[in-house]
Amino acid sequence: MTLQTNQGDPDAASALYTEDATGLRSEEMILNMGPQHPSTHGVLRLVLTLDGETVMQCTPVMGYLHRGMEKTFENRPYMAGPRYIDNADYLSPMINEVCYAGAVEQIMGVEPPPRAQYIRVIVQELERIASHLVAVGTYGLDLGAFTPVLWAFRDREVILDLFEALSGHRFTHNYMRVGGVLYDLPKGWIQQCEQWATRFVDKNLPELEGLLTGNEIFVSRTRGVGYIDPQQALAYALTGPMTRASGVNFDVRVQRPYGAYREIAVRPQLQTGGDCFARYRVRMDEMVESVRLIREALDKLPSGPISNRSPIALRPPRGETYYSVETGRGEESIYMISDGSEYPYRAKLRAPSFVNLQILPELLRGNKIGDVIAILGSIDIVLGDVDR
Amino acid sequence: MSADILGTIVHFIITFLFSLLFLMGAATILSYLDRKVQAYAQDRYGPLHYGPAGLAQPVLDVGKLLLKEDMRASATDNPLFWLAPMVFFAPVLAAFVVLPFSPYLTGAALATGVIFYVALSSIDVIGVFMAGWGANNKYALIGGLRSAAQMISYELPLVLALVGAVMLTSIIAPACAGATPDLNTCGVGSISFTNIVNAQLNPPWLWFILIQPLGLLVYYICGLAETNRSPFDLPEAESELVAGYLTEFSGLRWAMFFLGEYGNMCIVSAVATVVFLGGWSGPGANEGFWVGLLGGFFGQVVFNAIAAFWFIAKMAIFLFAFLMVRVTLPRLRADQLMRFAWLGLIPLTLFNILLTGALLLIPTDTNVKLIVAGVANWLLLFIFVFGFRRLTGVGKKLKQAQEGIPAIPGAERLSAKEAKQLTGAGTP
Amino acid sequence: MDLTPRNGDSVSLVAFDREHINQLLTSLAEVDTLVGQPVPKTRMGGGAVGIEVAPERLVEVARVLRDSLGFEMLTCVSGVDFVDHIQSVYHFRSLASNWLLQVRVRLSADQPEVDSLIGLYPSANWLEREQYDMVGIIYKGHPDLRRILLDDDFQGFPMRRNFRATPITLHDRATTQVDAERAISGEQQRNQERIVSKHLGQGDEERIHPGKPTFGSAAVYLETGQGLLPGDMQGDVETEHGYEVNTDNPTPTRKS
Repeated sequence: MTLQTNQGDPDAASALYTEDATGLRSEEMILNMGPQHPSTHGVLRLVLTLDGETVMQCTPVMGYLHRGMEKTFENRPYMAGPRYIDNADYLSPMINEVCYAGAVEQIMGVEPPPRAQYIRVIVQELERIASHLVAVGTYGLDLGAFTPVLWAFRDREVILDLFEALSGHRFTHNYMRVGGVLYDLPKGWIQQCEQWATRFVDKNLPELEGLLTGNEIFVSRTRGVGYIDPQQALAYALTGPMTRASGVNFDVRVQRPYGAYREIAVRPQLQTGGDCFARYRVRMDEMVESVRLIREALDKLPSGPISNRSPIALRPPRGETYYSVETGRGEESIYMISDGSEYPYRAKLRAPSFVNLQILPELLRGNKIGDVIAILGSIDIVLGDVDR
Repeated sequence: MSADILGTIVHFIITFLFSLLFLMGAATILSYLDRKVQAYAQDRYGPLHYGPAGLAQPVLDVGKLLLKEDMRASATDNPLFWLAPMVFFAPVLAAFVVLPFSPYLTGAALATGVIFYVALSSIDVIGVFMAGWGANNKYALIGGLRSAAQMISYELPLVLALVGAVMLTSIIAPACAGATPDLNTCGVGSISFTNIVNAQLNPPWLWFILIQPLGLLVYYICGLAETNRSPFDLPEAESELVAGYLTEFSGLRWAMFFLGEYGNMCIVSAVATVVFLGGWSGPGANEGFWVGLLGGFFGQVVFNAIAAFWFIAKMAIFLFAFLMVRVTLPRLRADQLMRFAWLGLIPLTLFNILLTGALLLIPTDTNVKLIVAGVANWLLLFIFVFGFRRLTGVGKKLKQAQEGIPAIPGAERLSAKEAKQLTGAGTP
Repeated sequence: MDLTPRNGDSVSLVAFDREHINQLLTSLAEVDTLVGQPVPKTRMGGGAVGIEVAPERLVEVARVLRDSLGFEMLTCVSGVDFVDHIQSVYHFRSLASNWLLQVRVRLSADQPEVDSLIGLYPSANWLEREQYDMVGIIYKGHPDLRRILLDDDFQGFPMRRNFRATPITLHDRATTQVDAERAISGEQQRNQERIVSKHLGQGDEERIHPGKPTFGSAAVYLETGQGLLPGDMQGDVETEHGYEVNTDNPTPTRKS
């Protein structure tokens, strides 16, 4: 790494000094932000080269949370995969599971029964709301507002309770199975879900929005900060709210609908601002849209079996597939190769956070330290997803 | 003679103990209330388990801080690192001396009260900067630098806001009363806190907030910045600089900063009370009535107790506002903070001073002068509050964001037509 | 097995896909003319199309894909170790036409080198770095090809098939913990971490030791003659110790 060698080498280190006409010496400062820092959203480390408070260069260093997830997949049966992929993007485990189960189903050429597909849509949208609530809440925290995160967690708690009632776990659910879901909706679950949705859309979300959207300080901190051009968004392969905030209409649910999204039309939430504020707005709008999708899915929920009863010792035919789902952060894909055995030959996880994070050094250059946090927060990374 | 000396000694002991205990007690209680108010605003419980409603929590916290190991990183600059908490805390304690809680509970009725307070509150910067430099930590260094820049910048409008109120005392002063003031002796107001309170006692509801609401607002905003509270808590911005200049401190040293911060909040609130809310005046705080009713000693005791109650009650309003602001607002960025002080507050307060000073020259009755000043100031306040979005450009930013105009640099300066052209660009 | 087959007619997406894929396949004629011969094209699940190009033509093909066919996004780069060869697999997306294209490049197992796509797609930067880190594919022309998720001094490439052991590190021991075996034997503990050979995972165990009664491909192979040849892998793997030092890297020497 160049930065470290600079520090060790006295000649290279002295190159960091600059002298102006009056003989005043100024030096660039290297600041290690993270891996133990309150707002790098986990264990991300940013090596910042600072000129005063202005960021001249940024080198992200990651891998502190690398667990060898892809290697683990290769050594676990297909049916055990969902349990491990839970931990990848730990703020949206349900969607991860759908991704893994969907990839295996696509290799096998089977589809889960309709009821399972609708249940998957419901839990995915709930998970998306939970994920966006964390994103918006912690974004407020990053900008110094303490209240939004706690107001956001009111609703997230209810969602986790609903998941607990559904799968038995609050966080790593292990709920999806190849060819369906594990349990049917428990008694009274639908009513609770609808009650929550009403309260969320009518009361809690407007409250949360009132705290941030019109706030002068919030707007001046986010508007015009971290602007991403649409072309730039495409070139860096950004997905999710990152790209939709730049006006690029890309949503896997819309472009390549999977599961019951083929029957429930998703209205993509677009903003053309391209800055941190637009990304925040996209997340807020998507939450409202998700509630609409949940209600529609609950209305259309068909009866019937919830699973294909796939065998535990699952042996998909030889082949390869690339299966994408839309998480709260963007396109999550699995490139899966089956050699006909009980274990995937290769399961490459395309993590949205990892790809979205790539644009960070580009965005940070020339901004102040305060904006580092504002921009990093608006990317909304999950380090479990970045490092896998 | 000896009775006088004895009285002075007793007065000293009582006021010293009161100030010290008030500072310590207020900091402890405030730390509890801070959590409780935050918890209330954030839909949670706050401290709950120790004592009834968690009341013993601050005691335990203080105990923990006192018993903690005094840790120090090996590369710190020792003298600065050791002195910093004291340099930060001592002026807080000293500034308490001049606060008139009641006529008797005034440590020193200094004739230069306002100047004394302003001077002491500036010393805090040195403590913070020493902490930032001495810790030999990059976060602390940035925090210290931010703090120095911020406190110095906000010191100016803070003083200028107080000047407006001081000038009012000169208008009310007897030499300036009447239609034709004697300009030779007039214009000599008072910068003693006691006299500022006294100026607001005739009539007893003539608080300066009625005449100088803008001064109060500006003073309070600067007070937030002086005490490093949200939304101006950049020096210790937890999400950016971990803990800023406090990063390397723990245990008792950290506790001194902590006490100093809450003490500062108390002082800012107290000065706002004295200068703008009539100090200890309030219903029942009537010296003549109580002395006549209960006799000299007990009458004084009751009167001073009631006066101190009103004083602390008014302080509590400001302190509550401190806490509520903290849970409501996000944090500014360093350059926005500076721009707000230098381009927003300083011109505003200077204009306020100009306006107040021009009143002296109007040859009318004092009451008319005060009414004119009040109306002008209230107008200015409304212009400031409602023109704020225009001043900062946030209104236009928000409007552009809602219309979906790309946030390229300088977009907020575009005309509507140019902005429309941008909107369609680049979308596949 | 009670598996529902994919319904071919009722779901609208299937017909939509078929038409789309045909469009993409006809458009790919441009790549054929560029390469000079028809590239192998396959239809994949989920409405994707896969093609295979030679490693030396990759950048030209990618340029055509980006500029002429409108594949704006390089979504994913995957490296796969097939023991006898290594594949670098790229997934491109076109938003305007809603296409998904998989481009596969076969590389030799001894010297997996391919040109970097970073000049065309900035997103290739970290995606290729990750595959270098995991599979050991050298992306020529990449300006910053170093490890991204693993330690800088990590030995070996974990997603290779012959990666069996925990890494040999020359770090000083991170903890003061005394190794239990050595404490008993009285042997003096060195100031370095011990090389620990790791047990195989279930999947690899089964692929390498086909005689074991498991459910996987080996059993299938023995019964039906189909599946990946386990014998191909056996040659490359030193099963005795359970790990093998990668030939790309010099044999690690121990500090004394």
